[in-house]
Amino acid sequence: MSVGKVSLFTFETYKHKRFMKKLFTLLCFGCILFMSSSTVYGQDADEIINNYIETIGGADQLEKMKSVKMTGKASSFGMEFPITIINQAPGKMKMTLVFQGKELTQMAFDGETAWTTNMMTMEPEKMEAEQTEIFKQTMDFPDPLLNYKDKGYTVSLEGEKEIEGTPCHKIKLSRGTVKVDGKDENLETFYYFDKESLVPIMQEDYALIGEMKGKSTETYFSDYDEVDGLIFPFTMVQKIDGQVMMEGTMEVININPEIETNAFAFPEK
Amino acid sequence: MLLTYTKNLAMLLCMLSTSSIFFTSELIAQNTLKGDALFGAMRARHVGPALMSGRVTDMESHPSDSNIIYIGTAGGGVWKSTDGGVTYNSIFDDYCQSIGVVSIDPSDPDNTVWVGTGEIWTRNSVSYGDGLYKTDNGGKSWTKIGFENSDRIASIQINPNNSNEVYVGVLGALWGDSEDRGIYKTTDGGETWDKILYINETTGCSDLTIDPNEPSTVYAAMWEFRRTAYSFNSGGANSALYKSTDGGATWRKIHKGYPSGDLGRIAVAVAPSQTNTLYSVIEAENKEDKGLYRSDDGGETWVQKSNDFELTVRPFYFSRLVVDPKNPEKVVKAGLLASISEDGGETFRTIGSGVHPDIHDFSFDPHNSDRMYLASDGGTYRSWDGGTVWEMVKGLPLSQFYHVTVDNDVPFNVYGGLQDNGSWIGPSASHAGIEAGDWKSVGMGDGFRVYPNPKDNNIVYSEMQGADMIWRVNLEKNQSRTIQPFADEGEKLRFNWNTPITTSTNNADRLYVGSQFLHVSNDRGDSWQKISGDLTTNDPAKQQQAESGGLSADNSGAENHCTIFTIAESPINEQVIWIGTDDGNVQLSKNGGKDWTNLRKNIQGLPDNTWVYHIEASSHDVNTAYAVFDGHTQNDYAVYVYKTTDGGASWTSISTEDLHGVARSIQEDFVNPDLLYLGTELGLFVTIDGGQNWSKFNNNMPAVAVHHVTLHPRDHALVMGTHGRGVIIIDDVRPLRELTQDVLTKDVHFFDLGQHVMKEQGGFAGSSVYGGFGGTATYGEFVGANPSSAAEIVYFLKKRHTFGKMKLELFDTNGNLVTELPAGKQKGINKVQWNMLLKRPKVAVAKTLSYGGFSSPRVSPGTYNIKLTKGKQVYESTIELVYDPESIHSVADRDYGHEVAMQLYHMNEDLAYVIDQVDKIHEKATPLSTHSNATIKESAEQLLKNIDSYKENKVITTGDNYVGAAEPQLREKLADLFSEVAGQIGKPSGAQLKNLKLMSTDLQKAKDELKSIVNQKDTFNELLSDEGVELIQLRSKQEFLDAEK
Repeated sequence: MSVGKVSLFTFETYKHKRFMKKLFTLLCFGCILFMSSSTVYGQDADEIINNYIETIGGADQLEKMKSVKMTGKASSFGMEFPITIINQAPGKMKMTLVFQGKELTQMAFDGETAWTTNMMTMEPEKMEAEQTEIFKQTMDFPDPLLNYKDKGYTVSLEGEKEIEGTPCHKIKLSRGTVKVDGKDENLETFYYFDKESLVPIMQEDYALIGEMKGKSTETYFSDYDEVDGLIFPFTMVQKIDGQVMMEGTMEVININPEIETNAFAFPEK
Repeated sequence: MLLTYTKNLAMLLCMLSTSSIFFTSELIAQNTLKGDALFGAMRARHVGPALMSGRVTDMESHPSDSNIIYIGTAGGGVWKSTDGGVTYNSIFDDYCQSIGVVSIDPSDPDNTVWVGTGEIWTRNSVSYGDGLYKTDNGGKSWTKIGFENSDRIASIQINPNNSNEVYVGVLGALWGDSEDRGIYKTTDGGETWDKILYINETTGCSDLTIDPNEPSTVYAAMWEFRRTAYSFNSGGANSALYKSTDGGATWRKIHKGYPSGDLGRIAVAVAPSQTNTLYSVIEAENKEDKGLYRSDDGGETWVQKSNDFELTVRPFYFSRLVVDPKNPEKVVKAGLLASISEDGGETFRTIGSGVHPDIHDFSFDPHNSDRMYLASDGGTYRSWDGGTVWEMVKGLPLSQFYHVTVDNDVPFNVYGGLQDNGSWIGPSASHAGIEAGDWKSVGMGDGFRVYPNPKDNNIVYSEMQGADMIWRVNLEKNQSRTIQPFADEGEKLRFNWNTPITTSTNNADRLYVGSQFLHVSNDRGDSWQKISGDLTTNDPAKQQQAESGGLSADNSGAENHCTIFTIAESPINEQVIWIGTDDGNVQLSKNGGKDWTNLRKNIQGLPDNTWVYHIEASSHDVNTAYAVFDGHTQNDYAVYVYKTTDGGASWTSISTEDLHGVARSIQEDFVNPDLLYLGTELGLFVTIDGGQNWSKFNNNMPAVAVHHVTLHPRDHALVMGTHGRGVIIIDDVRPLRELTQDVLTKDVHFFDLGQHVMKEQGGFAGSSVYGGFGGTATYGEFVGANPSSAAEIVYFLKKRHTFGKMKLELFDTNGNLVTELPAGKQKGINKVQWNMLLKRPKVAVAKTLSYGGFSSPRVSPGTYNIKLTKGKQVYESTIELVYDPESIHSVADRDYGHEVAMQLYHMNEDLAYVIDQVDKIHEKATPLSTHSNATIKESAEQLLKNIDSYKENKVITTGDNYVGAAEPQLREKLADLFSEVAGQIGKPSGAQLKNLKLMSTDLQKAKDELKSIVNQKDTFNELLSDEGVELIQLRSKQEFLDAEK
């Protein structure tokens, strides 16, 4: 997105820039939200993860979930908008927002191509190759922690930490490496499992690419509720450096909904 | 959503109910709330500044990736750059912030990094460390390896062929004996350690290096040294350079070519590209023997190369050699200005101007030696030309404050002095965040205590080290004069390096200064009167500073001792003055300095001569005072915090095991005397029960040394001067005042924070108060965070909300829903920010987005009802908004502005509904335009044509959101006018009102014209009805407004 290409600094362009910056921020950060509403656990890590999987419905139930559609509201920097997220195994996703009555695909991935909507032209554009590769390696539905060993992931218990006053187990999930700027970067996520309720209340991811590289994004989970035998966090709040970047609350979650065949595909122009 | 009681959920509920019972009983038993939960969402805000940065002690470049650099700092932790040193992120916030060394594992440089804590540049104000840490993920998380009592770690050397083999050089305690000094080795990655070289309890490892080609060859520099509060000694018979060629099993001195006699601090470096070549820099008995030595046979023989000033200056502070990784002849030596040799040490040039003096370390880009980085007392710098020209990194807020004060401006300003970086004033909020240019310099040299005149903050008092100068600055006129007191005949005044000066809350023109005497001025420093005798122990043995330094004389004033260090006039009675001295005396006068009583003997459990670091006179009771003592200069790291309630006759310790780090400063709350704020060497601690229990404040608050804490009386902001991370503010402590036992037992408690003022600065409703124009910072520069201008709904939750729905809604007094906000769900204090904006209007759908349509008007002032729904429970409270009394607009104008904004708001929604109706007709008629019935087909075609024509001047139907934008139509014009009016405060301008008239006419026209389209639709529907085709139905306006699309 060419946010920086506004040439004349008039008040109009100032407003324009501020607005586009907000949208840009959404594009940057919103993508992580809801994509990996996943979780792990452990007195040893394995036990914590097993407890978690059991708590949210059990491996059998999770494995039966081939797709999910969530609709609700998201807000970012005071702007609220309707949001729809569709996930499909093994790692397809699409997040759609509605602005002024117009539906925009903020981010989608069909397993091969990751794409977004350019906010200037409102046209779909493919994401860069390295970003797409990150999608390929991290999009994992229904949950990266489900059967994590079979997928070649490793987990480790990193001790205990209080998150917002709640004692938690800290668990690291390692999913190998991905090439960024020609160099292998570790794919690591940290989960903080509430010791009492066994579900994660926060997940920490580190940006692998771009000017935020190395910065952590914290996603907080709450309003866990049950849908057809599975427990989902209905509210997620994403923070960077303590500032809320995006907040989303789901109203409806449908398990195994009907999904069009090409729902995730990049629309050919 | 209704819960289905499945097996899983039942299991969950069972667990939760069990645990909540446990929680309740725990609460009753402990009767208090401790830890992070006490503070909940209260969050520290970093203000900086970074324009002068702060002391960086160690730098380490990744061996192959030029983009990755680590720095260790004197008091600000460890930072990492992943962009070649343009920006850095702090990666060590939770741990001791005083860093000795950072080392990257050459075999796993992307992941494994070791950090040794405890700065090794042993100046008087240096902090101390608490051990060795390691990360296996590039700094995302850290594990403490041990060495708790190491105090300071000088070097970590990792075998490049074996990550498990690591040598650690422990310099050890600065202020006392220690058997923890020496060289340690692990062969199992840090699980177990062997001490492989130990000299004695006074001699530690100052430098350690290995031959990267022969990792079993190790060189170790051992240094005999000691600092006291009043002297420093470098050197002795035990200082030496050792070599081992068997991995540390055996050692021998390698002094051939060195001078005889005692040695002081030694640094040693191997040239990585020619490892038989070594450089060392030594401190020796004779001046001419000091300086740089070179060996080309692996240290077996040494030849002196230079004893230039930069090679010999202050060895305890500048003992670092770095050799170019590619060129054995290029060597860099830390120093006052530092120097570079390109001919193997024969000749040197200084780094040059433009770099902050006192340079401690360097690193080279692994692929291009012309790209260099340096660490100094003023942060880090980068050079692209081999070290001739340097540019500063402006994103490192490492400033080391000794003290802070505040004034009563709006927003208030913060005043304070910095280690080697002068005295400063900066705002607590500014237009585009607090930028470098917002700070004003008000003093040179090292800065310490800076005070505004309490009634006239145009007048500021500042000082430099040892009260060499105390200034009175007239800010408006940008003029200053010196006002420090002078000695009387036959007298010598002893001023501490960090001389206490303070103002009085009882007399605005009063100023106190402490030498060994207490001096007072009632005319802003023009004239002085001594109001005490010598209040110190006046121990002559502690007044031999001319002898300080050891092998290199170092009488900078930093060791001045037997001086007054803290002065506190009671805010209740100006006759009551407390003072504390650096040699342990607490003295009280109850008659304005005529008589003094030494209270030291009344304080039990405190070692003799423990430095009285801060006394706080209570603002609630004249007989109550708090004193904190800092024993670290006697090698005592205990936390001493005392309170008296009987005018000093007896003192009670309020230090508990909750506290860590020597105590530096205490602040009593102005409202709740049981609420105390304590700054220690390891962070901020707070008690809400008068010191029975303390909790460390962690939210965005590093474990940094808090040298001074003060509280803003009007804004309830806790302001901290940290020694390594600049000024840190916690904006509103009022919720802590209300945390009574009663509140702690409630499930939910709303705090009453009084009226919220709807600030108008910045000019943009809905923007941050200070979010207007004015930002000048470029990418990578540090910008201090502004306080929030949002209205805050603050409540206490006894327990985190994790399961089931929880929502927070606001209603106006008529019961209309104004907004729904994301509820805070954490245990303890929650803060929900409300931007006081209405929902955006629904604007007409078009080809492109309308920027104006993303605006919202502010709500009207008044009372709003808060409804917090947590499962089936509902909790209610209210919040009251009031107009900004500082406004330039009348209330009537502001009300009128709001009225017009709302008129435009509804006009936008009216147009949106108009367009929705034609769009709906268009949508239904489109498939009928190919209908087999010719009449239907033709009528549909005509209708579509008419709609297209109708829409042409109503909404944009072509173009994009950028420079391909089409001509704005009614929707865009209407939304833009709305945006302007809603985005400003006060009466709309004449032009805006005139435009409103035009828009109203256009909108009315659109509505009128719509009638014709609707009539056509009705006629068309009759036709459809006749033919049995489904009719075109329109939704009501309310249905449209309620729909998402």
